[in-house]
Amino acid sequence: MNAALIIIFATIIFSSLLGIYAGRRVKMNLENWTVGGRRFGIIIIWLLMAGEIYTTFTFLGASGWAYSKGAPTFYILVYGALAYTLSFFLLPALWKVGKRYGLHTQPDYFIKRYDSRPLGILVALIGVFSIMPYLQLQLTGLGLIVEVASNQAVSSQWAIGISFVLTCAFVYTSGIRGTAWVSIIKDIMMIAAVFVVGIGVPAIYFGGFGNMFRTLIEQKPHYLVLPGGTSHMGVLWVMSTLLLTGLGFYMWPHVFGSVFSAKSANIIKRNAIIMPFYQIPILLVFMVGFTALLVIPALENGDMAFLELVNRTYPSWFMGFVGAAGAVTAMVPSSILVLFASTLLAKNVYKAGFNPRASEETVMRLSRFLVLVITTLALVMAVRFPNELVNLLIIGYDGVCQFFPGVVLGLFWKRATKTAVLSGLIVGISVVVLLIVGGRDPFLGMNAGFVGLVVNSIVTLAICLYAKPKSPDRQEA
Amino acid sequence: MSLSFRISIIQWFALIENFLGQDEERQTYSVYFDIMASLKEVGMQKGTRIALILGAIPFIMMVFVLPLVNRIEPIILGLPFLLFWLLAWVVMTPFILMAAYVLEKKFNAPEEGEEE
Repeated sequence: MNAALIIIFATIIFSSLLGIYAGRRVKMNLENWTVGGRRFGIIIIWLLMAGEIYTTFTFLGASGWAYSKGAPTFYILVYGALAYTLSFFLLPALWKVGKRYGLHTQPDYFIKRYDSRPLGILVALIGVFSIMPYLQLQLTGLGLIVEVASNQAVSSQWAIGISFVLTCAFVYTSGIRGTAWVSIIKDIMMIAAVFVVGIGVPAIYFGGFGNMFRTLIEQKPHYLVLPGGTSHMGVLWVMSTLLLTGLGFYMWPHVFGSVFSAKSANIIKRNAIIMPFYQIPILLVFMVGFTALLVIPALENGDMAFLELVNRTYPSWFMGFVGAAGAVTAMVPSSILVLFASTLLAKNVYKAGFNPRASEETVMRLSRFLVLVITTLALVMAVRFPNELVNLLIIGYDGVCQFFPGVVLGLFWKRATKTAVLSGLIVGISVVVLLIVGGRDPFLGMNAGFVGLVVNSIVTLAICLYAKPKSPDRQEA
Repeated sequence: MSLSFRISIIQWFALIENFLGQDEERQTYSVYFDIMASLKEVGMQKGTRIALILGAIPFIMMVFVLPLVNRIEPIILGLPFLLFWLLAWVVMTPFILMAAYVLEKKFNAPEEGEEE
């Protein structure tokens, strides 16, 4: 039993207890469970959003890309800022609609706006399909971090198993409130870890990041401009990826759903203003990746750069702190992913598809039961196929972005029709799947998801315009 | 634009409509959110227009200008130029949005039911 191990387990257990406590005095119904009774203020919304958006993948991936790809990793710094700018204009309107019609989830929105249950069910299924590999990625990341941080004292299977039983427990009892409360611990620990390592590591090895960059430019002059260490991630790829991820960001079902938990539209708007500050720690993560490239150049797996460098530089108790931060950083997004995947299945697939007269209690009970099912399924996936879902993840990410025209046109354009939105969605997703499965990503230098989104938007707009207005109240465009 | 192309479009429509179900006398468009409709009647206000123009700045500076800033020199504050440029605009974004928020409030008619 070493110090690192104690820190990791104390943190995981304390976080889960806090998460369970969060829902203690609240009577759990669907409204409280999924959107926290629409009562969250600016601070808790900020923590919740930051909690679910900045995942283990952001940190291991951003440093790993800096290590193995160089400049293309800069997109991870930027796309959030674009997404928040967009959200400033989009989300307050969405919140008002959500409040007015009592919406809980993304498919609820589609069902209400387009008056079509099949469309809602399709959106729900695409959402769940995209969430599963994302969830599995969090589990795998958690296992990796804890295994390295505890110096192989805990195998990754055990780490995954224990933390997910606990995550499951606080989602089951507290719903989104649990996620919001645990986010507090997660954000503090993670930012502390990133600041210590991101400022410390370049200073220890090079006396500062200026000198580190100078050394890197001498050794690999083209690494810090696009396309960096890759052959296909040039300027066009980064531009298209930025547009895709910036626009698609809030189309993730769990991020979309959390919007409804705010107390007012104004809170959502002010949250959009302060969110970009949260991007700055990512810069420090890049520093770690670049320093690792110079100090330990021959790693097989770039995603291990962060952990390997910390392991080599800091005492083992600090490694325990990083491991604990990493573990809660996986647990928080996972909890909300599980929450929304189960609500989508219960409310928008089961109720909308098979049993429209199901009572709210039934849906709530089923959602809670599905939390257990989905967690188990993700555990099995994480243990059985840890590395085989990368393509699914990309398809999932590009897939949820295809909701964009349906959401935006639905809010701001009266003439958007269900036929158009569904056609666009099907065409967009087909393009994405064909390009990725056919090995044509990037396509003409552009991100395949972006190509899908462009085709999707054209199809949607064309069909909206093609359908001639029949009644007089449809004249305005 | 041959006849067969048109026919295939019509078939596609039939397929989708069939899938979605055409119960009752549903119109081509469905429920347009009535609160959004009432906003539309006012038209776009001056404050919103200013905010939208400001909101375009991050997209222009961080996406569309990218081909021009893809370079290492000059090194500023120890950062290669590309990274410095992107970081600078990420840091500027909250201030731009803050300005958009203030100006929107100033030039738009006050919204009812909006609390502080």
